[in-house]
Amino acid sequence: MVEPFHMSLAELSKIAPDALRGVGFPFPTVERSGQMIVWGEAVHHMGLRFLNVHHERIRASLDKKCTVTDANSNRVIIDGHGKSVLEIGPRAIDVSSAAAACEGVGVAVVRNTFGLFLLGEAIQHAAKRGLGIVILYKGGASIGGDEFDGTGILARLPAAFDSVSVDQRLNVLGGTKALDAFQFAKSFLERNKNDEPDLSSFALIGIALQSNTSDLSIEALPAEGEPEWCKTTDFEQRLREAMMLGLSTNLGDWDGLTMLLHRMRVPTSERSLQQAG
Amino acid sequence: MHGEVTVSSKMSACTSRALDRLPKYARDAVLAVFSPEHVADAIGIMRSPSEIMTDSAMQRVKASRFSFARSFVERMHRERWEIVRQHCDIDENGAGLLVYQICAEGHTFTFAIRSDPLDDVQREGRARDTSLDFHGVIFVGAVGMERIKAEIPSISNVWGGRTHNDTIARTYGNRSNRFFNHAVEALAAGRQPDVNLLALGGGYLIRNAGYYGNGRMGCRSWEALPPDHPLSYPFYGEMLGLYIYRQASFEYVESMARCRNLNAAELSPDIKRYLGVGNQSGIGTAAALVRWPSWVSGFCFTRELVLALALTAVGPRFAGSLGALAALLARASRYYRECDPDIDAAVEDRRVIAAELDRIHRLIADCSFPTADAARSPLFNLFSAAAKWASPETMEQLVSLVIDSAPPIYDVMIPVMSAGMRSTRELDPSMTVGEFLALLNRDYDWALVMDQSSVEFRRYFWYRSEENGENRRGERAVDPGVEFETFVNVAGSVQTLASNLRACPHPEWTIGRYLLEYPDDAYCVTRVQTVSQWPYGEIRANFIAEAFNPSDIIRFYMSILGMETTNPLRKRWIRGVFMQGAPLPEDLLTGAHSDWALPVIPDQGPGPQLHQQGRIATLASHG
Repeated sequence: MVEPFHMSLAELSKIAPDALRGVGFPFPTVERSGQMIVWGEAVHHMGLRFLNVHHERIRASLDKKCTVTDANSNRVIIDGHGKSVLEIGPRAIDVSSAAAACEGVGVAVVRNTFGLFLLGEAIQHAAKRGLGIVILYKGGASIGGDEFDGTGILARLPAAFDSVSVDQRLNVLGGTKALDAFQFAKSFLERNKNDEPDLSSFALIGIALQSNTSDLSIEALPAEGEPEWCKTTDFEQRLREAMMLGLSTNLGDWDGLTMLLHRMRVPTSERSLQQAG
Repeated sequence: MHGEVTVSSKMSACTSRALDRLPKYARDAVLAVFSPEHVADAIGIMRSPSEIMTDSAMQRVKASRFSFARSFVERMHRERWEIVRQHCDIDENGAGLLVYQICAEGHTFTFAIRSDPLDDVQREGRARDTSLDFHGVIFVGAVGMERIKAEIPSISNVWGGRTHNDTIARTYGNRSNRFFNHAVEALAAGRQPDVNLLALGGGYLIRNAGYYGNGRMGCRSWEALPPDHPLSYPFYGEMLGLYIYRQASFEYVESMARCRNLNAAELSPDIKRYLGVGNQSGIGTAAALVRWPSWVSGFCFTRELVLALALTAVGPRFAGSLGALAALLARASRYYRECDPDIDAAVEDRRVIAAELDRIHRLIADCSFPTADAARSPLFNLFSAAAKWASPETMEQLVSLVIDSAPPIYDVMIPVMSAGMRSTRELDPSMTVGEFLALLNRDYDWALVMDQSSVEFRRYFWYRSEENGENRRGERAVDPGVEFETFVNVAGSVQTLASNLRACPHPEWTIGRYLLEYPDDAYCVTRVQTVSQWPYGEIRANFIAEAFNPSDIIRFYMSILGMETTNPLRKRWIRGVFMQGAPLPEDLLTGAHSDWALPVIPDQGPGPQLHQQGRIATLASHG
């Protein structure tokens, strides 16, 4: 039987970066990656679970370096070498955001990564930068195939996007099957830059779009499973609720988190006690 | 008031350039009240970060109306908070339960404190301690006794207990045994305690031993409270904890005395007002400050700007400033003279500060300070004159008193400080490597030249302890745990970043592209970009050097919070007192005693006087 456990959002925000250091993350990356864990727990109730299930896998990829396999002024293709979205997600969004700010549209294609459900956090980040963003992702056995990686679209579209109203655009997205999303991505890239990448094996594509508007809600469009597979999730609302009410997880996941946290704590000793303040 | 101001096209280029130095968050608020010329003039005389953001300079900062304890009490007072003792069941040994209900600005919250029989152990209140005299908890809303009692096992389990979303914090306290016992015994004997003796003990009966809020143990964070909630403000939960512990210290000694003698005396209101609440804080606070550059900026920039605005202010609105300052100087001088003079040698002798404050006071009273710059205000000339001979600590006390005596400026700037402190870090990935490097060279010259090459400059590392995760400082060459070093070395990180940037063959790359190659620079890049918007955000010290003294930074932190007369202990602790002189709950209702900081010892009339010219003659007979 799963024992429920209550914690606060602020508490997790403080602990998550240190727990990531316990996994082996270097200090300079844990603040941003920790935010993704918090977001994953607050919005999808899966942040802790993801960390507990995958911390060894994440750790194993920490020493690898992602590589840029192709790049031009507004598009990069990155091989993540099995790194999780906790590591590669922020970098992909940063590089596409930078290109969008300079070129109007920026595209980052990442292959060989996992933890795709965390990408919604990137949408909020892009929104804070005044950008609209479309993220298309394809899960599957080759890149994880577990409960954390589906296939779908996450979008926060600027109102003036491509002269098509937001409702129409979402309708287009909602009316397709998941794999049609790839066609959308292709056509999108064709229309914008006419130099599409090979999309046959991508893990995720983040497309950032310059936007002067900030009046749109955030939409999450999970791809498979339910008859009405297109649903809208207000991330901000979920974060607000998590902040107000706290988070309900289970004792096992909490214990897993604190186990990681304690890895970075230095064992006590007489000398250590003398160093206390 | 200056009223609505549009920065006109007629503004001089000089004024415009000066105003460009205002952070975005401050610009509108400041220019809505002060003329562009006044603000530009003030910016021109602001002390530079290199002058005031070093560890040796920061340790001298004194509490002012900007400090949280002061602004919190001011708010309680202004908004007429109602603090009602709802339940008091304390036996002669000090065991019991005390419950307060607080009604403030349309909100209600409950504060409960429990204690076991008080023994003779003097508890230090270190972060690792699990045995503490008083266990307190703050609930959101009005809660019944059943809920309070259900929470007791949790708060008694100091580091292990969990709580729910209806609590804001748990907070602990310890007696200052000797002085607490003296108060109980005196009241039980039907007389007032010797306030001079209590002053010697720091001026408090209970010392706060920790506040665990902001979501810890599952409680609700202050950010999760409605925006209009009075505790929805940085550190106000902590300040409420301090205030209630102060009030509880009176209830405890009075209740225990009454248990011993039904005709026991009650503490006189004057003595209650004189007493504050003690506190001691350790090196973890210093490590925390390094992580919050925008928070440091929010406080330091605002404080410096207010000082500069006050010194450059002219006109009828500010005509009373010098008189108000004179009154504060007189009281502050006496306060320092009455404080315990036995303090750490690293801290300026309080008698020296008292004498120098007196001298400044006399300059005002006699109108005898030189007018070196006739175009400037008298306050500016006074400040300049004192700076020529006063000690750095006296000057910082003078800064705080100048701020305290300039209410029209202070009132405007409180929201500015709050805006600064609430900011978050955000990366701008579109900046090019070349642009970023120029920014780094402009703002971090002090870090880039800091020598970290030899052993003495890298002797220490900071880490989190196994017991409860508190920060400690170990020797790099001796102690285990270097691989989990806590981030405190800003200069080292900046130097590494600069080296990587210079090695990057593509200065035209965006930072977003650069971080694909150097992901470990992400934090430092974000920090540098943040600090470019938040002046006075970096502490210019080498936290890992042999010569670094953590208590310098703890003193600064405690002064921000509002601690008076900070006293270092063994480089790793600071002890002092909060809210000494603050109005009592009954004063909050009537609006009395609004001018309270740096109080003097109340006159007890004839009786044993232990203080003789600021010195303690004998204490042996007053155990």
